[in-house]
This record gives sequence, structure tokens and C-alpha cells, in this order.
Amino acid sequence: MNLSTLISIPISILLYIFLPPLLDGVERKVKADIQSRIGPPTILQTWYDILKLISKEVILSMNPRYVVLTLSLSLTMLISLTVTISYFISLLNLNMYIVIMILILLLAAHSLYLILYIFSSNPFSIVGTFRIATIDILNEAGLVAFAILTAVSISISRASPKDYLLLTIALTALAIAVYVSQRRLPYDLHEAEPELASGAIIEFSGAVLGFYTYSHLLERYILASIPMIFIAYVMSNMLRLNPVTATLMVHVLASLIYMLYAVISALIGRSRVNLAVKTINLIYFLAIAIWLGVYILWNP
Amino acid sequence: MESLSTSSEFENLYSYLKRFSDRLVEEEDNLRIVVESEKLREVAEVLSKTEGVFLRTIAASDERSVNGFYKMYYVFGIDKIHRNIVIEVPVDPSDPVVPSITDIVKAADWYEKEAHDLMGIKFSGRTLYKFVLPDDWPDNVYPLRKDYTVQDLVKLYRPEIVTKAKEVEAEAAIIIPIGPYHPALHEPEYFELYVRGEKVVDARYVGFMVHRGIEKLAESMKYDQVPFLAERICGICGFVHSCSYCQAVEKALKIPVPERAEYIRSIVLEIERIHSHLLWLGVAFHLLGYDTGFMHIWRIREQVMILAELLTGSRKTYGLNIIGGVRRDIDRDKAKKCLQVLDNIEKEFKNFVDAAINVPQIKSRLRRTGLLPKSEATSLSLVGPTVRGSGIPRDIRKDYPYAAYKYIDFKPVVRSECDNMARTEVRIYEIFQSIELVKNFLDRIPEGDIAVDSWEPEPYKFGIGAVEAPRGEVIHIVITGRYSPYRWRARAPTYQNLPAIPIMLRDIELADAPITIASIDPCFSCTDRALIIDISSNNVKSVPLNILSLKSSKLFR
Repeated sequence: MNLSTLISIPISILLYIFLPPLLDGVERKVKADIQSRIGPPTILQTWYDILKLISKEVILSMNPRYVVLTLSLSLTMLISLTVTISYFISLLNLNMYIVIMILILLLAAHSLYLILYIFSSNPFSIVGTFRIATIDILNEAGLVAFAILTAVSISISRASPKDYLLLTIALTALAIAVYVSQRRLPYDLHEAEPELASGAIIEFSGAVLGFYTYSHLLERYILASIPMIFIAYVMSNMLRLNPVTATLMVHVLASLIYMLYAVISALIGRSRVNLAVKTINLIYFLAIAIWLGVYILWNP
Repeated sequence: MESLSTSSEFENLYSYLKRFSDRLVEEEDNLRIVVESEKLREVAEVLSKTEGVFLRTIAASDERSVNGFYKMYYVFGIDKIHRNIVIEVPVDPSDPVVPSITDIVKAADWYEKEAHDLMGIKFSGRTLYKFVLPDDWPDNVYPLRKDYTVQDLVKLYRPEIVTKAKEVEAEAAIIIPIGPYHPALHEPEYFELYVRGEKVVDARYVGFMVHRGIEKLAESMKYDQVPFLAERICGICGFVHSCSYCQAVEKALKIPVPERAEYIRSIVLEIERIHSHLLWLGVAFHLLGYDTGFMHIWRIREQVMILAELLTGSRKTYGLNIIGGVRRDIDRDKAKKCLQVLDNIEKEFKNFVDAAINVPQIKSRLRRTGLLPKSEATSLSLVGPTVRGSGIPRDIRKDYPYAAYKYIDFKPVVRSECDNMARTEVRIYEIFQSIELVKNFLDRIPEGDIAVDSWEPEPYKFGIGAVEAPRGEVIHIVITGRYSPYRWRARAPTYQNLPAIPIMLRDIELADAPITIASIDPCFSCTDRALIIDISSNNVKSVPLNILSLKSSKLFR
């Protein structure tokens, strides 16, 4: 392990840990601008909100053992995921086993959230949890499929136009699956403010809400970085990038796509569970069909 | 089924109705017929089977000091010929019973329950229960009877909830409204949505959480004070109420309103419609998760609020109406500024709404949701954009022209798809239409006085004032007194439209319930209630959040 690898690992970990609330602050300003509002006074506002929430008294209507256990486990899992990802980015190493390991850790964090939501017997929370479970069952299959498809596209690539097209299709589908996984509009059905008044997270307040908000933002950012890890890996192989540059490239690209997602979510309305399932099904089916079609039928 | 579209057909109906009574009074807009209670159902049957006749409102009045009776007024409107048939039924005070007509005229349901609660009239052939008054209201105290003043009622009724709250030391506890559904508009609404999974299988509404007793209050106020009270019926479209009240008094006392005042009233009414529809549209976008739409629509609306302030002196509750005219004139400078602002609003609104309404989620969630068939809209005598979205061109501005609407020609905006999108489109196109109307009014406004110099009250005269509010028809009945209204009956459009909500909610997805409820643009006030309904065991109970949270989640599966 050379010096540049050693430097890039802590840089990446720090960026993963500190950037998500900052990006959320930028997102709030961008959204406010789109909506002709002023928005929060500073891009650090989300950090201030989280710190304020964490410093508030703890009031729990649910059994505290379950809440603290699941929340701390999911947060720990996400932070260890940032360390793992940072390590592999810096090593410029990405094989199928690593991709699968990242996905397993990510899906485990998702499952812990579901457990966290379901501990509340509040009816809003119950309805919200069932909604997100429905979306997750479908989307996580897509997320895994497209991550693996992207990895396969890279591994079989001989740098031909067909290979680049296959990679582009897989990456686009992966970016869509990541967007849905981030639980943004139109798929934020578990919260759905007007119908469910915060839904699955209605019972969270104070420190619990603070930690949940942070871990949710961290998860969003990790998700946004996944397609970018593939891109950085391809680029670093092509351009012989050093680990620090590759790491920075991942974070710059992840931040950009995070903002792109923010803009998209500001321009659309909320879906319905049945509609969302139909749309996601259709998009994923088409993506897989197109990828297979190109792979089988295009023989240059 | 007969159809009324000409005056001669009305004459036929008129001759037919003569068979039921020889006590008829013909007025400019009304045909008033005194009918004995035994014949009421027969008359109602005839009117309900005549196409084009709608129940506009019902009022109960305590006229014991005038003629020894309580009296029920049933106002049926014939939109196409712009006339009302007012059926007056004297009720014996010793046995105040009237046959119910709810099975014949569905729209009469709430009115009968309200008359029972507030005036103590009993309706035979139906079940009655406390509807408007709270459960702990003392028995045999009917607040609209002349036996009680407002002060008497305040002494008679102390809500038990205060005592109960003290007993359980509730000062320290807050019960948060909860439920697996949320009707979304933050006002006192109480919907029981019976759900299986995410599908609404049935719905029930209970309202009147905040009954303010405004009608009773007006009986102790002077004529010119009441418009300010009437304007406070609604925080969004209060001007329609002061207008309706003033028109009712003006009609009862035959006060000639100067033409210029009529134009000013119409201009402000349309400005109110624009801001109200924009407000609704913003809320609708918010309910559909499209907050960018919400923000931009309200940004555009802000210009209308500033315009209202320019013309009336206030952003809301304008305090402009007085009996016999208005209090403020619109000068040339204001008219010019108004036109500039309207041009700007029209341009900005057009650009934005075209894009917003085509957002895929907005489109798919408004189309084919909240269906309200034309037949149901007719039988419930619905009003406003709610009925116009079901293909019925009911618009009071056109059907019973008032103020300056009688001087201009326009067509009501109608959509026949009967869904949430239809009601949304009606409001969108009405915004453009209102802008055109205001421009038209400003162009044609004549010179002259803005109010009559003086007028004299004359007791026991009957007048109806109706205005097409943004939500639909507002109708006020006034029976004049010597110094104050003897009886004032105000009916807001939501009262007429709410019974349609359970029909619209049936078989829709839970996610579409908020927008469907909002699609009638309901106007409640400010509390939420919620219930848990176990559909398998038919149990219904209210549960405080802190108790509920400790229960097992099995309860909801």
C-alpha cells in the first residue's frame, strides 16, 4: 500500500461522514431557489439541525431498547460501509465479491430501518412501513441486479462501442434504482406528509430523529456514490489515475448526481403505491430487456 | 320527468302547485307558497321529479311572536329561468312536527337535522340525532328559538370537556390527532375511512366541530354591523357572505343599489375567486407531493392579495360591503394598476400551470380518481366547481344573475369527466375567466354613487341573497326585524357539497383520499379528530397517542 493510498482512505472516510448533511444543506438552497424561496440561511443548516436535535431531551413512545439497538446498528453498519468503500476505492480494486459485500451491507442497513419503523404501532407508521416494504422488495432486487449488471458490463468490456453502450444502459438503470432507494419524490411514500403526516418516522423526535436523519442522509450519499465508484474505476483504469484523484473523482461525481437527484425531485409530484410498483416494474423490465437485446443482437 | 327551461313551463308548474295552496305570493325572483305540513311531501315529490329544480337551502324560523308558528322555508331554485319556489310550512308550536322529505330530496338531510338541533323541529319518518350541537348540550334548549338570547345561552352551556380535562389533569397532556388516514386540510374535519389495505371501502363524515352560532349572534346586531360578522364566516372567501347578506336585505327591503356599487362588488368577488382558486391549486399540488407547484402558485397568488389590498384596503376580510352599496370606490389609478397586475398574473399563471398540470404524477393521480357521477351531483343539489366538474352548468352568476353579472355575458366552465382532474380544470379555467371578467367590469364600470343615501328597515320582509363563491353557491335568507335581522340563515357551499365526499371516496386508494376530499375545496375550521376502526369486529374508538403507542402493532394488521 503506497502513500497516496494511505492518504486517500481517511480523506474518503471523512468526506463520507461530513459531506451528506452539507449536501442536504445545498439541496435545500437549490430547491428553495427552484421554488422562489430563500431557503435556510446557510448550507450548514442541516448540520445545525442535526446537532440541535441530538442535544434535545429524549422522549420515546416506543420501547427504547428496540429503537436504540436498531438505530445504532444501522448507523454503525453505514459507517463501516464508508470505511469499506473508501478502502476499495483507494486500492482501485473492484471485483464482483466486493460489489456483493457492499450491497449486502447496504441492504442490511435498509432492513434495520424497516425494523425501526415497524416497532411503532402508530397507524401512520404502520401504513408507511408497509408502503416502503412494498417498494423496497421490488427496488432492492433492481438495485442488486443493476449493480451486478454494471460489474458484469465492466468485466466483459473490450472497450468496443457495444461494451460502452452496455455499460451506459446498466449504469443508467443503476442510477434510477439508486434514486428510488434514496426514497425521494415520487417514491417517498413511507413519509407522504399530506396523507401520513411523516408516516414511518412520525414517532421520532429529539436525538432519535437527529441520529435517524444523519444516518438517512449518509445512506443517501453512499447510494449516490455507488454508480460513481464504477465510473471512477473505469476511468482510473483508462487514465491511470492515482488513488487520491480517483477518490476525489468519486466524491465530486457523487455530489453532482446527488444534486441532480435533488433537482429532479423538486420537479415532480408524489406517486401512489400501486402506480409506483407499475412504473418501477416497467422501467426495470425495459432496462434488462434492452441490455440483453444489445448483448445478444449486436454483433459487430 | 318534466323539464323546465321556459317561463311557460314554469307557469304550468305554478298552476299545478296552486292545487296545494291558495296562499301564494309572487315576487320578482320568488314564488312563495304556504303549504300545510300534510301536503309537504306531495309538493316535494312534484318538485323533485321536475328536472332542473334544485334544493338551494332550507331555513327554520321562530315566528311565534309574529304569527304564532314556527315556520320552515324550503327554497327550490329553477336555474334556467332564474326563479325560486319558496315553500313555507307553518309548524304548530305545541307539536312541532313536520314530515321529513329526505327520502324524496336527498339534499334535505343535513338541513332537517340542523333544524331539529337548533329550532327543535321534529321530522317524522326519519331518525334524528345531535348533529350541530355538541353531545353535552342541555336537553330541550334550542338556541335559535327566540326564548333565548346569546347571553342566556352562554350561561346555560358550559362544555363538559373543561371539567373532564381537569379531572384527568389534562392540562399537562396533549392528545395528538392520529389515524391511518389524514384528510389533509388542517381544519376540524372528521372522516371515518373504512379501509382494507390501501383501498377505501366506505367513508363517513361528521362535522360541525366548531359551530359559532353566528346566525343567533346577528339577531342582536344592527343591520350594518352584520356584514362585518358575515365576512368572518370564511377566512378565504368572506366577501361572498357579506355580499349575500347585503343582497338579501336589499331584496327584502327593495333597496336600489347603485350600478357602480354593483360593479365594484363584482370586481372584488372575482378577485376573491382568483385568490381562492390559486390557494386551492397550491394546496392540491402540496397534497400530491408537488411542493414546487405549491410554492409557485402561492407566489403568483401573492400578487392577487396585494391587489385586493390596493382595491379594498385589506388583503382579506375587506369590510367593503354595506347595505345599499360599498364603502370604497375604485379610482382610475387603481383600475389601471389592477389591469397591469392582472395581465402579469395571467401570463405567469398560464406559463406555470400548463407545465404543472402535465407533471406525470399530478396527471395520473387526478385522472379517474374521486369520481362523482352526474346523477349523484344532481340528486344532492351540489354547487360550484364540484357540480360543474360533473357536467352540470350550475353557476349562480348565470342562473340567478346579481350585481354586475346581469350586465355581461359569459359561459360557466364545465367539465364532464366527473373526476378530480375535471374539478381542477374547472378551477384553472375559472381563474382565466375571472381575470377576463374583472377586465370587463373595469372597462364598463359606470360613473355614479357607490351607495344609497339612506334606507329604512321594515319588519317581517323576506329576502334571498345568493352569490357564486369560489366553492359554489352561498345563499342567505333574511327575514327583517325592526332594528336587526329577525332571522338570518347563511348557507355556505361546503354545507351543500360535503355529503358528496363519501361517494367520491368509495373504492379509491388511501393515498388519493386527501386530494379527493380537497377537491370540493372544503371549508371547515381548525381541529383534527381521528378514530381507529377495526373493520372485522366493527369496533370504533378514539385512542390517545400515548396509549396507542404502547399497544401491539397487531391491532392494525
